[in-house]
Amino acid sequence: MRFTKFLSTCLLVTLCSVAQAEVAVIVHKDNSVELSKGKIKRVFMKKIKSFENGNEIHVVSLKEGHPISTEFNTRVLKKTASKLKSYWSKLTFTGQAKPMEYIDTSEEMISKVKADPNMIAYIDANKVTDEVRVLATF
Amino acid sequence: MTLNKLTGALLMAVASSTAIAADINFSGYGTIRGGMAFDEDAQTTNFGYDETLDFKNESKFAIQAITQLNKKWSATIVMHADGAEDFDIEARWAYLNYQYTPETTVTLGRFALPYFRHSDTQDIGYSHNYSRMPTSIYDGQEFDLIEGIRITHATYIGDADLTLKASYGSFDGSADTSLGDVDTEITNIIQFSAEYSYEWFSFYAGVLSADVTLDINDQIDQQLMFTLPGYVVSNNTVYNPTNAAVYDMKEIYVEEDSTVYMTAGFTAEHENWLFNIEYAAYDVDDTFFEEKKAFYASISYNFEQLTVSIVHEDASYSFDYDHANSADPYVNGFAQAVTNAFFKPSEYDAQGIHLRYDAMPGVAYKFEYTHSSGDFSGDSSGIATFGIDFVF
Repeated sequence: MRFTKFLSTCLLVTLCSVAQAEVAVIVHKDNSVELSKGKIKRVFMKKIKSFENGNEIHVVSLKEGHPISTEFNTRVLKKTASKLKSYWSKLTFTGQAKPMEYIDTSEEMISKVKADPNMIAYIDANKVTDEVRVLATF
Repeated sequence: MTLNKLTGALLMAVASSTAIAADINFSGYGTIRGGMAFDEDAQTTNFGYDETLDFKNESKFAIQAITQLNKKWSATIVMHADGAEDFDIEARWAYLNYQYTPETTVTLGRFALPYFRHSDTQDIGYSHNYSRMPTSIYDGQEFDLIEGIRITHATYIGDADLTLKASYGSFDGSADTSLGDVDTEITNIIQFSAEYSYEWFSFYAGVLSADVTLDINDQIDQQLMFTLPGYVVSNNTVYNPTNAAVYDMKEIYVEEDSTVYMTAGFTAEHENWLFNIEYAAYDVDDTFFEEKKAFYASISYNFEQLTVSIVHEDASYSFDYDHANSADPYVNGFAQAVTNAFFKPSEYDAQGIHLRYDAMPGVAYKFEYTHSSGDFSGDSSGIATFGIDFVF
């Protein structure tokens, strides 16, 4: 009984922490771009494809099923994973967008963004380091 | 360049990258669907089903391979196997993409021609909520391909997004008609479309013109001489039993005759509601064809993983018989009969309910019941289907 209570508490804490996890959209430290939250959404939907300086935006995403990915899809893109997959299938099977690159962890994501001045990504806000610049939080 | 050469060249382009296999991106889509009709003798559309449970009619499988040749160029090939074609595999799309800018892409090769708004995604069942795109508009595959060039430009105006497409090319293949498979040649295809989307709604408009040739002249000639004893067709001219020239068969023939497609669509998405409507009108001038007008409208509601859609579709023709202009009433009767034989059975309206259940990302279960009514026969029938649409 005591164990069941303990398990329930742990589960609740885990769920709450996931539900409250903040998502940070990050770019390279030298990238001074400013994007509204609306435009960030359109960048990740591959509707806006280049920065104002003309450089192609390289969009990467955390892998499907990652808690932060789920948060980002729900809060920013306003789509479930299934709806998003359906949307991507329209783009990638018609040559309108390159297939999305998926990354396993926030740490790996920081390494990718550090190496590419034109990359935009999102990670767990708690994992942000001074190696990248935060464009917005959700 | 013939298709085989083109496909071969693209396969070589992809194969030459096998040394760096990690750079080839494989993905795919498919549908496994079973279904049956409740009255196979009804003179209305049964969407390819009869009273026997069938798993081939609408099942399909496709694999796409994309390789980035360099920073600007990529090669794509889509191998497609259709149940209705005994799962014979074919290179449905095979094209090169040149990215001129991030917003502007030039496509060269064989690819889907967007006659209509969703022509290039109609085979990807997972991309929409229906069991099939409404056949009042999406009624065939043969004409939905082009060998040529396309320019796609995607941009934005303030908070709105705009996608422009322009294509030029030709098509050479066979088309399924009431006379069986007919060799078809479509040349000088010129296509423009624009899609404007802003927050919760989007508009689409498209126009396409082309010259069409169907290899059916001999069959029509033979049919006329069989139907009207004593009449002779010689050098495209019909002679009556008194040997008087009474009709120019070019009024019926489909020989480099111009066709124009006009299409428009509107989509509104608000919270859990999705409304979709699409309209198309097209004709082939100076032939036995009549103007087709087709539309569908659907409304969907999303309950978490379940999406319910109600679809109404309608296909009709004008039947003004402009080509039946002979001084001989028997010949006019024949000219009208040819048109009727081709198009009267194709007029119908249908209402369907489609259920989509998103079991997991990439897999959707679908169930459907559609009731159709043939305008000419007055007959009606229904079909029920169930299946799985997937992407990977």
